[in-house]
Amino acid sequence: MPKKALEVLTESMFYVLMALSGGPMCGIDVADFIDRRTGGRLQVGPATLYTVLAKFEGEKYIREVSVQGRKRTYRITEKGLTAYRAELERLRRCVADAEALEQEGEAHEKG
Amino acid sequence: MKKGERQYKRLPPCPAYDMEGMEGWLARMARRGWLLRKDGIFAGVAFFARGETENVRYRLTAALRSASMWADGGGVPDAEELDLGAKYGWEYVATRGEFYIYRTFDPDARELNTEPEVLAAAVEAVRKRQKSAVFSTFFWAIVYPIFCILFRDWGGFFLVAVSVHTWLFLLTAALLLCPLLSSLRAAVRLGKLQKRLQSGGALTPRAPSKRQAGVYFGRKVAVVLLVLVWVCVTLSRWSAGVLDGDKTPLARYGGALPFATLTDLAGPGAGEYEPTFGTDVRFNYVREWTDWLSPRNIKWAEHAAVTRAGGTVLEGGLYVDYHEAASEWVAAGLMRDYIRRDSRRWRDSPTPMELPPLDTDEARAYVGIFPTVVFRKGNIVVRASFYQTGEGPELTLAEWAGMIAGSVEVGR
Repeated sequence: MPKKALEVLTESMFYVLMALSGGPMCGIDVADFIDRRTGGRLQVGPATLYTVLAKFEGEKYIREVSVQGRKRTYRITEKGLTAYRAELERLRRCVADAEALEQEGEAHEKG
Repeated sequence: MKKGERQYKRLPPCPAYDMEGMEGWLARMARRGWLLRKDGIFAGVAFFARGETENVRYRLTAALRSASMWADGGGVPDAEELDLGAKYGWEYVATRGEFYIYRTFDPDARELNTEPEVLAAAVEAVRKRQKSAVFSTFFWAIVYPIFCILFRDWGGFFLVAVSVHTWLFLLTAALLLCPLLSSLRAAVRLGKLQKRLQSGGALTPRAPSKRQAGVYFGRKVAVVLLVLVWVCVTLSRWSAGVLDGDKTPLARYGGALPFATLTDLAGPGAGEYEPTFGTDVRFNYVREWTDWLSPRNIKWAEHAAVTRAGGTVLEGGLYVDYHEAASEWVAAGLMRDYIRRDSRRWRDSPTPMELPPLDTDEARAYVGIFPTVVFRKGNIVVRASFYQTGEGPELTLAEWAGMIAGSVEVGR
């Protein structure tokens, strides 16, 4: 059975929350942040970014705080921050599990 | 468009929600040297112009809010979304249905939609709007007409079908079902696309095959033709009804009637016959028609003064609806519909009247505006209303209803 949309944060979603966790930003700033932070490894398509922003707004993870000309600026909410931290924790555990396995493998080879 | 620039118009060979089909078709048009013009989709027609088509890539994205030109956004993407698209080499071209069409000429431009799961969320927004369209179409195309037929003073399915002609009734029903089925098909297809994207499946642009396009166009053409037939027939019926073109004045009618009229009610040896409203076709007319459910139908309206054999005058009006139905079952349905229609039309007044046994299978009498009798004899249904205004002796309900019922012969 396919998972429901936005039930799990995708990589793009995670990075969008990460960008906004540092302060309010407009969509173009978010895109620039992701490009800079990942060194171009993660390419988020413009349609994907705006779908994520609209969905997050619908889920109350973020809210629009100002509109200046053609720019809309968003701020992360408490709910969004909680979701971001939970995902961050999950990813840390994933990495910790993988690293533990690596160390066990190395110890086994030496032993 | 520059003056003298050649323009090419084409109907898209797939529905708006077929994202892969549209992307594939636009790419095929580009390979042939045709570029979709800016805002180049209007009233379902795509407008193309000659242009540089090397490396062109078209992509569709699902509109998160209504993409209708009457919606808040005016049917175009958000300004910042356009700017970000432009920054990465994507140009918004047009809107079709609930989808925005973008293109890029840069072979290295990143994809517009980079995560199928996120695109699935956008498709879900379109599907939700499509589902609410299904419900509103279902209400207006199905529930409301059924409500009118059953609970307003239209009578019921048999009476409406025979009155407007069964084939026209069925054509109307089919045309009402078309938008419902179309919305339903769109909702189902979008649901399947959404599931595929949620499972990580990517979109693969592919132009519809000739067969797929043929089926799509065939369906469109059939609906357009049926709508044209419906409009022409309805307009001609409406004008005939307004101009009384479907009625024959009684003075010019020479057909043999299968039921008693005022002259018969005046009794044997009736003499002078004077139409009350002269030859005005609005008051003295007959209308005959045939129908699948009821092969012979007559609507009769007669206002006259008839001198009886004894010198007294029978004066009044007689209205008869006569139907020779295709079966007794249809006849019973028609009778039920007449009674239901009259009870709804005269909500407070249809007062039941005592009716002595008539030579019929079933009969009911009541007073609405005038004393009315509805009876069925085999496959024949008659509804007759009769009022009397003369000074001479009046016929009782039992007398005139009995004469009309007696005059009707089954299997004539």
